Amino acid sequence: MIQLFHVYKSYFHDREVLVDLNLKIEKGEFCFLTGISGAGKTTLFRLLFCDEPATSGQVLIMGRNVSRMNRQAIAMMRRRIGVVFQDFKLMNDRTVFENIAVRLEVLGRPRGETVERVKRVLKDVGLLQCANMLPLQLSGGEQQRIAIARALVNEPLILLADEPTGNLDEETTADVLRLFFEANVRGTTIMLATHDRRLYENSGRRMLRLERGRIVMDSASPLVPKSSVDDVMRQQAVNVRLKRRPEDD
Amino acid sequence: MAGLSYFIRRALSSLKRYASTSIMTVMVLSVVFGIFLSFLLFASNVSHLASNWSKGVRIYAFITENAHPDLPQQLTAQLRSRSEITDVVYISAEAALARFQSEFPEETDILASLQSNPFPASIEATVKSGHTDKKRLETISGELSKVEGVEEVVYGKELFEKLAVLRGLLFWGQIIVGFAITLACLFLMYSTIRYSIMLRRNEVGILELVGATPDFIRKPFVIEGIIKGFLGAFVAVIAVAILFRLGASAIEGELFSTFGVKGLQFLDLGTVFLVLLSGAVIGGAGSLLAIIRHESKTVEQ
Repeated sequence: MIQLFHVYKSYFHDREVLVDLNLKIEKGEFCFLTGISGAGKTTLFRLLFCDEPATSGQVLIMGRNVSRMNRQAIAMMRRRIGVVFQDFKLMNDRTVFENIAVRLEVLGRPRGETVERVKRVLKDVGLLQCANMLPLQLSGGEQQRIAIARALVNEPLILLADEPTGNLDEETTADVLRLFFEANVRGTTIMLATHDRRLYENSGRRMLRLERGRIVMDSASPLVPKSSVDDVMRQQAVNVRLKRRPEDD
Repeated sequence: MAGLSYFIRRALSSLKRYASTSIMTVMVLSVVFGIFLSFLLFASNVSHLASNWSKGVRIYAFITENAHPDLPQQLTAQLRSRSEITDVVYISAEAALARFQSEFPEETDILASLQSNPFPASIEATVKSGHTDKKRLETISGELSKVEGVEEVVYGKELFEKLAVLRGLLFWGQIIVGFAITLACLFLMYSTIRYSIMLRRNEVGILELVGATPDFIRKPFVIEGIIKGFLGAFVAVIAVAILFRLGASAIEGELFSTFGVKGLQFLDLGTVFLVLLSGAVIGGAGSLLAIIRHESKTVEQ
């Protein structure tokens, strides 16, 4: 579903944000992406979402090389990818309903179907009663759930979530994770970037760790993590692999 | 794919959402279109005035005293055979004197001091409207001048040359002013839509995020530009029409006494329709340029 071959990304030719990234994420996989701020998580997402091109290397999404896509093809591909950003990216002068419906309007879905699907996803994220409110009338956690609802409303093939629980309390975090797991069960490939160890520890899901633009640990990889990874993280990776559920393989 | 009605709804809703910017744009455009309409109105009325003057063009061939007695008849027949001449009248020296006396009664004292009738006999030929161009009048006048017994041929050459220059100036003036106004409107529309895109760059970014194609993003902006351009032109037409009605009645009397022209004319429906259409087209084109420019900048970044 997602493949990266020797991908480099640098800005102004001096600062390398991503270095020789090689990665393969299978269809239906749920993968956590971790790393400290500035490790390159958001940049990796921007590459996967065709928001920026790689400086060199190949990025293949759903079997297509994104560097060879024109604007039209990128738009078509984005329709099958849901994205959740840390800063929500909502239209603050539109209602919650309109913010989510726009994704289906872009696809040209009939009005009736749009209303039905938006209501259903709003119910899933627990915001049905807020449908006619403006995002700024809601809390940060609720706004994050609008962004998640928008990403999920058309059941995308891939979902990229950048720190989706960064602004949420424990209870809401659990609810949001449940939504992602449910989407994953329905077949959506999910890549979730987070700082929060509690999310991926003991989750039984694949975990990638980025450090200074390099993948320094991949819980699904048979390769021994590089020496820059501390022992604790290495042990956690082993634990995660051991705890993977059979249906994930 | 969403239908046209969806994009029109989106364009209308964004006009409403950004009402103050929209009103400002329409007002600025209406001022520019108003200037253009005023110029068109001036040009069309001057052109109307010139064609009114041209309608009654007469060529006078003055006959010498010792000319052959059959000359007036020969000239009359010669002129009547020409398709561009509608009427030919012979005015004897006595008739010319009588006409002068009736038209300028206060000048009769001057004539009383003269021993003889100073007015020569003449042939007055009226030229059909539409055939009063300089070249044709020169040809007729040249032919008449060559006839033996004809002293002088007069048709208001200077006036016609001035009218021809004025018409030429108006023609090129309309083209130049029209071109300048088109550029000004395009630039205005481009700038205001650019501003509008800047205000809504978050919305444009989100639309791109959810997979909107370039066409999907452009259409509402272009429709918005068409509506603004049309409204700008429409407001200008209404404003200029009102000002024209108020102003025309005040200066019509003066115009009649000075130029002998009755009834100033407003622009015909065809021209008004063309101005409204131009407003819509310029509005749409300006918006399209702005959104394409925004897209290319986004790609560069």
